[in-house]
Amino acid sequence: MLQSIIKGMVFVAVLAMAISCRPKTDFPEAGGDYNTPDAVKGNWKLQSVIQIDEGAVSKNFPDKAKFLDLTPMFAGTTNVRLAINGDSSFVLSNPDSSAAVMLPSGANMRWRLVDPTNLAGQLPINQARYLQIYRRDNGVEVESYKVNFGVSYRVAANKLALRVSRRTSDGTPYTSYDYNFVRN
Amino acid sequence: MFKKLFVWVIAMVATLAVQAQSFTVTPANATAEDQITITIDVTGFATFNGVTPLYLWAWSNLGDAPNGTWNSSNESAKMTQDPNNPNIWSFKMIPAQYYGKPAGGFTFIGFLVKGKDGTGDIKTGDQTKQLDPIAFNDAAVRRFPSKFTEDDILTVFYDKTLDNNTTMKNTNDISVFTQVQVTDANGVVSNWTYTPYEWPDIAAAGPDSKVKMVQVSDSLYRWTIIPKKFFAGLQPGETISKIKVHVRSTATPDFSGANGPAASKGDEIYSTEPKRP
Repeated sequence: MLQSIIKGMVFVAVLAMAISCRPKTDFPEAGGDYNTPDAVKGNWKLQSVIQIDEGAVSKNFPDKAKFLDLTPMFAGTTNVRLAINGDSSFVLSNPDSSAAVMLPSGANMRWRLVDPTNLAGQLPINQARYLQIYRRDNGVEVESYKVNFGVSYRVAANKLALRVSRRTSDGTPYTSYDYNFVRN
Repeated sequence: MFKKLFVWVIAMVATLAVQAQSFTVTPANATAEDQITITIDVTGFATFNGVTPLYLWAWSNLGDAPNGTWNSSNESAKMTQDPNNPNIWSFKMIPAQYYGKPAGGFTFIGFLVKGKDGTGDIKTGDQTKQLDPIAFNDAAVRRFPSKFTEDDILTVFYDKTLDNNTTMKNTNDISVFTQVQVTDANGVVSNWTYTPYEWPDIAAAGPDSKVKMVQVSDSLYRWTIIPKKFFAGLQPGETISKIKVHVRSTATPDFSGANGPAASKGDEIYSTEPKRP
């Protein structure tokens, strides 16, 4: 009996040592956003485009008045690819010229992540950061566009949701387009 | 005994009269997207003697308004004093905007009036205003989205199940007659123009006509465009201000009435939103 107890204690001690000697793993906070620049980089393919009537959403109207899936309505939409590079450049390729794609793009376009608390409040407060796309001519920033990160973006899910909105003069969105990407 | 009771009742009535404050909320029927005005007459309300200005403290089934704290109300909640009667105060709000909540979720708002510092019960009693639901009015012809620019994707739906026009319901080949009004760089608005197919030409436009509606299901049809791209020939400086869409049978509708109602819906006129960077 005593021998069995000693064996058990030795086993537990060895197991504890083995676990403690493993490299440290940093697990991100469960359910959190990972809108870090590194997580955004890479190749993405467009999975769907959803048009949103923000007024109908606000009024809680039926879904048919709130959302319209544009994906099957415009040929080639799922052939769109987005490559986000580490040097702040990005390439949006739309080989079939799908008209559902309204994301700003071009050779002089750059991207960055922005903390909305540093800007005039134009975004929902639950969006920790958003992607800002800007145009640079001869090294000078001349124009910027705001593209919201959707709340569905999670590294673990390998999804990137970008939203482009038309807004009234007071900043209230009335029509939006959700671009849902997955890792390519 | 009866004398004491009588005196007590009189005292209570007198107290209530002194405490009275008169609220009115207009209009009587309103949704969370309508402007409502809350007015209070504090004549004889001793609690507010010497208290000025007054503030609204509001809540709802969706949560509280931006009230501030009980001992320091936000200035955005300050009421407006009637210049002709200092005892009358009012507050205007559109609930969805004031509370910053979706209009469709409201069932009621509640409120009271208080001093900036409400400590010591410097306040009225609670009031409640029921709000009407915002109804979705479905129609045989509807657009999506409700607001758009000339660069947005616009879809017009035609749903036979919602139509009482029997001739249209028996028609399977459906098109739209469409044209636009444009505003030039000087702000001059044109007549209806840039018509891709005139009314009698639609029938001959062929099966691939760009004004033909796409059948989505047995009863549902759609027509999708990006106005700026669809209406060819727009001149530099011209922007589309209005779009006319008239859903009809591809075969030229008979308006004589001899065969029942014409296979045609009325004109739908959609205004575009101005473009912003």
